[in-house]
Amino acid sequence: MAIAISAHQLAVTFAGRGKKAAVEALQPLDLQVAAGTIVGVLGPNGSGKTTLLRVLAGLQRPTSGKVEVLGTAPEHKSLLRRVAYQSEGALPMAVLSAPEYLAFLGAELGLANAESDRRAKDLLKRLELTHAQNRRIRTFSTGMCKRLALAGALLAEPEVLLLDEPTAGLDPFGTATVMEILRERVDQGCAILMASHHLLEVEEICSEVLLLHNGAVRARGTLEDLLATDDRALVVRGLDDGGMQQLAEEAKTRGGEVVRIERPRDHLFALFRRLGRSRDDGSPGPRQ
Amino acid sequence: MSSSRPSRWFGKAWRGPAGLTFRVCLRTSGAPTAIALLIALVASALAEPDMLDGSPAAASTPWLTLPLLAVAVACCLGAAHLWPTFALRQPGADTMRRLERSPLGGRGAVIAGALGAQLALSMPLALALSLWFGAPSHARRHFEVTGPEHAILEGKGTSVTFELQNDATIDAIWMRPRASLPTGEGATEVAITSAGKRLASTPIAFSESGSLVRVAIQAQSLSQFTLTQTAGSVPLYFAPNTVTAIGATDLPTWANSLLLALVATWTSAITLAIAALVGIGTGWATLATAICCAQFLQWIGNMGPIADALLRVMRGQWLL
Repeated sequence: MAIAISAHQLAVTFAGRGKKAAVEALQPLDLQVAAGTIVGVLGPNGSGKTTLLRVLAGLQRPTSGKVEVLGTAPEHKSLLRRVAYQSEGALPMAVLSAPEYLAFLGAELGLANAESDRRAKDLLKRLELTHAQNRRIRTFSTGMCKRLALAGALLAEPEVLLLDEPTAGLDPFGTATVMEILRERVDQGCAILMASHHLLEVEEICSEVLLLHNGAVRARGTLEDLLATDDRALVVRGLDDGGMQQLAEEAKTRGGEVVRIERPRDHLFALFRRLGRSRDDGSPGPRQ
Repeated sequence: MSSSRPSRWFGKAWRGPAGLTFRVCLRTSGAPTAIALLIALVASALAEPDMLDGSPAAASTPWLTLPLLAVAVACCLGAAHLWPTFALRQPGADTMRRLERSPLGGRGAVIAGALGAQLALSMPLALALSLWFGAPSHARRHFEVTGPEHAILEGKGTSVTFELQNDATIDAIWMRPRASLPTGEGATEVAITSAGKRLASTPIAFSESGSLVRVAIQAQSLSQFTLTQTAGSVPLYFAPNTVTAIGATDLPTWANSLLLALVATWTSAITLAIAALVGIGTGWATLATAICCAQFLQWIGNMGPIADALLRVMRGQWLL
């Protein structure tokens, strides 16, 4: 699979000023992100997630190391359309409406007006912002701003998406929609690097994760590699308590240890997703 | 909005930083301008005019200043607030820095858009308000005249000669001499002559120090004229720029008002250039203060051409 993002011994140090000491925001790290994959960047606040994304977006020069995005330097002008960066903060130009903002982005990205308008309309509909298209951005909720920021990032149909907390402040419906869109983009060959604090989402959507702490990589790999244990789970349906007990005995006789027998439950996120589907297609809601 | 007519006419430029700033500045300046206009109209109706030079129109200059200043400040603040890289730590600055990689970071286009919006708002305002507040229906060219270093009439028979830099057809001479302590009784009277020929049929009497005296003459081309004291005992001192020759050709007031709008826009160009420099190292609050101060100094503090231009328009003086 083609490598979309490649970093070798990438490091960033912010020089100290006056009495302030220099800050090593990123210690030398290697990174490769293939096309058609989503890599989650995890870590506490100040761990270097945003700095990493800013370097890859061409907004921050690395102190040392080599970085390439789609085979070229991140700050290269040709990447403006091919690489999208959704920053963590608020949107610029809050006096505009959502269509005005997207029209501006489309013009800046060199899209033809008609094409830009068509894509903006589709994205606003998909991200459920059509109802608010006559409102100024400053009247938007946090979640609406996030969705509009994602629409902006997707406008030029980029090959690489750099997303900083794309679901922060989103309600579960919004989160589910964003996840769905990101999955579609990955299926179309887009490479996504996503910084997030939402571990559940990262676990659900990312094929690989990079765990940063104080600017250093603490762990990296596929979720299978990182989260696998020696335990094996057997999920059974249709047995009563007696049958379960017999099954447990059988496991013991075969040298296994029954850790617990529990009735598994779904997580809230799945409940919201089902609710969202039933809301959309009129099908029955969740089990009572 | 997206498929609007201007968008089709101007293409991407209408959606780019300049076009966007133009539209946003028009939108955000509307309310402040309307309020300033209302205040100016009410105040002008209530206030007792201070007759600067016997001209009620010139006395109305502050009321013309207010709405035009409001437009200028609103457009500058609107542009600086719209564009996140104008000041430090603005929301969305990263997005904009990535899109605009030029050395100015798009600020040049934003300034152009703001100035365009100011011009679009100022032109009709300057035209309508200058006429409303009584600016003369036609503007005239005012020609600078040069006299001796100490242009003083201090006794009967003394004279002072002034020269026009170019031969110009004039039909009036305006003077604003300062009077010294009288040496005897009687107001001073002065005759105006050119090449030995009297330009005004009757002598001109000066009754008050610093007051403007307008002398109408027959329209003619002059290269110099002489003031000769014919009577009285009050010494008169003609400081530089207190004697002016008025051109005989009528020029349209509307064009003069449009020139005024251009001068007003020039003050904002300077203000936004200063703001672009200040914003490199400061946040929004400091930047906004700098913008207001720069405008105030130019409009009210006379540090620039606009205060003079306003007065000249109201006096009917052609700005070019």
